[in-house]
Amino acid sequence: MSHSSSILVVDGPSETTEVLRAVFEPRGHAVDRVRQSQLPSGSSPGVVVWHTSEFEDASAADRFTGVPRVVIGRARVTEPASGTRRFSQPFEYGELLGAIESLLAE
Amino acid sequence: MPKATLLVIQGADQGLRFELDGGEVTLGRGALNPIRLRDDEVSRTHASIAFDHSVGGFVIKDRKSSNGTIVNGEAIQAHKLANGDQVTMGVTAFLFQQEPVTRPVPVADQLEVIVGDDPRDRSSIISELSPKVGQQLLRDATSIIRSASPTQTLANLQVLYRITEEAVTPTLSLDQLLHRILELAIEVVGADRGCVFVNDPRTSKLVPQAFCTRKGFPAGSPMPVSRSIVDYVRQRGQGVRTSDAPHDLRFSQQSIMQAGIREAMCVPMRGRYELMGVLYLDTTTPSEELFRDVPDGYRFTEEKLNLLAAIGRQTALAVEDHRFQDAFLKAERLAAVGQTIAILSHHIKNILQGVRGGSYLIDMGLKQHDEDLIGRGWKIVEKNQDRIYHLVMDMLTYSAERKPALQTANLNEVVRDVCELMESRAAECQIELTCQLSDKIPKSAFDSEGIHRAVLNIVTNAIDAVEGTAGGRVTVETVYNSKPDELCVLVRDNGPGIPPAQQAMLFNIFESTKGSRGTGLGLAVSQKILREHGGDIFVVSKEGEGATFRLVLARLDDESGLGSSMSATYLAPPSNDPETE
Repeated sequence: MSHSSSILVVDGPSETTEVLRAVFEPRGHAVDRVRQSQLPSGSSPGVVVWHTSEFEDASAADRFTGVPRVVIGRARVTEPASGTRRFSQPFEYGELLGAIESLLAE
Repeated sequence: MPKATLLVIQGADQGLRFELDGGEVTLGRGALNPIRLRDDEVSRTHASIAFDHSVGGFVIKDRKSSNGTIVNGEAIQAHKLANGDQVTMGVTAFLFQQEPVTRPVPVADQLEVIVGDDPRDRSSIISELSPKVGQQLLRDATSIIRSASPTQTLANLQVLYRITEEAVTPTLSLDQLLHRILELAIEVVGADRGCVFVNDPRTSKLVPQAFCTRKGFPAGSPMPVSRSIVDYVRQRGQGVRTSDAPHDLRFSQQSIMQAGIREAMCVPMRGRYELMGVLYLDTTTPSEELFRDVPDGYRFTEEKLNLLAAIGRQTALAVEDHRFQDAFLKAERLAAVGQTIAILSHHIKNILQGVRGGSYLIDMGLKQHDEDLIGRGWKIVEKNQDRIYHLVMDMLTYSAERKPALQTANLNEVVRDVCELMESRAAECQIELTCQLSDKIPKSAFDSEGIHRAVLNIVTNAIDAVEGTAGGRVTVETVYNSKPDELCVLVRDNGPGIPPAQQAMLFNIFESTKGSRGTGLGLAVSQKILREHGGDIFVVSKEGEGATFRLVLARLDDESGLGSSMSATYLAPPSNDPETE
């Protein structure tokens, strides 16, 4: 499995990771989950799934500059930045999985 | 029996309200008291309160306490409580509040507003005051009655001080406050009856709000109030003195002798910015006293009108303050409701999101005939079902008026149950969960379900705190302290610890240090449960060195001690009282 095809889930409920593992691991993508305070240094996942909250350390996200990401949070942004997909809860898992698939394929 | 409550207005339990149902309840520091106070200066069983049918009210009795029971500043042995009484024991102060025994007659039914063309309205103005007199009098107390005797001046000043005192008494409703002011005003000016009309801000109409008679005045026909006089005072902002006879040429001396004279004074209640209403007092001099006791024909004098104008100003300020307080209270309530809804919606949304994740996998598994996927999905659904169950139970525990259902049991069994329940979660998070149960734990009466919930909340928090930490450990330990005969559960973790600033807010409702994972209910609920058991929760933590939560509950020999004899109901936990060591 290539390193760039892995998915890193930052924060959020464990269910997100469990669903992503059930769907993507059989397809050869590793799915890891970490807390924002324990972000691995030097890792370069294929996609970052980032749960935002009011406790977020904004500078932490800079570590993954250039990495395609899915941001799950409260904010609704109509014009997402390139390489970024945004979701606000409650979202449909089908849409989340579709967004990750398209980012992995880019 | 009237409903009564004790509200803690000062002390560690500030904000708690206890409902009294009439049966005897004891108050004290000891765990067995239905009203238990966290106050070291209070005796174990300090006092008791019960409804005494022979005196028709609640009576508080001191139970030979070390520091005494104080009611309204005076030490008592036994005292019949009145609405608004302040009871102090140790550093804890209560406010006693009681509903009226009989339903009051509506004020409007006790007044008869007579319109201008009604032949019964014979009043005419005999003197009036400048609109600013009331304000000036209040600013310059020495001028309240320039021509009055020193004794009278002192009495008038005392009335104004008493009105000020009543106005700042937090217990009084607006109706009660106005009634009390009327009582004082009637007493000091020697009136027979009085009423207050308050300006309704929505309709701009004057609405009768309070009515009162002097003690001993015979009850009977409604108090006549001249609409034209009220309107005159309202429009001009001037206090007036009126009489219905001497200046009215329509009445002969004979008819005056038969009917007597009715005098009235009506003053505006001018607030800081607008007219808040009018104050109206009258007196009826019986014909036999008319020329005997009142040589000049008037009971109400210019000096009394001056004083009433000052009282009117004072009353207006009190009404205004009352409205401000009401508005603040409503705003606070709305903010609290909004915050509660927002936080609960957020948690329910998270749980819904989890259920959607599980359902998605089940759906996928069904389509692909993949039982493993269905199982994984179902596990997520079950987990979220548990989360919603615990959220609902925490909300119910926190909000409900409840008494612990005491049953004799062993604390070790409850703690073991919690550890077993959390084993799989700890293993999933690669956390070492250790349960150390002391064999010296005696049986005790407690609410097993409640204590289970409290311990489970603390252990869950500990696991959350060390999740993701290499070598994460949580230890749950039971301890028995024979002196002071208490049971303890210690929950230790080697997580990141709790910063001092967060410790101060730890037990506040909806304060969570876990971000979106926490409801902010767990610790508040656990604290409430422990306090219901005559215990408490304490926390010791240093940043980087983990945290230890100590759950303490008093050991009770049997179920008869705490819950079954409770006549007071714990109505609301304090919202902001961190208890840290």
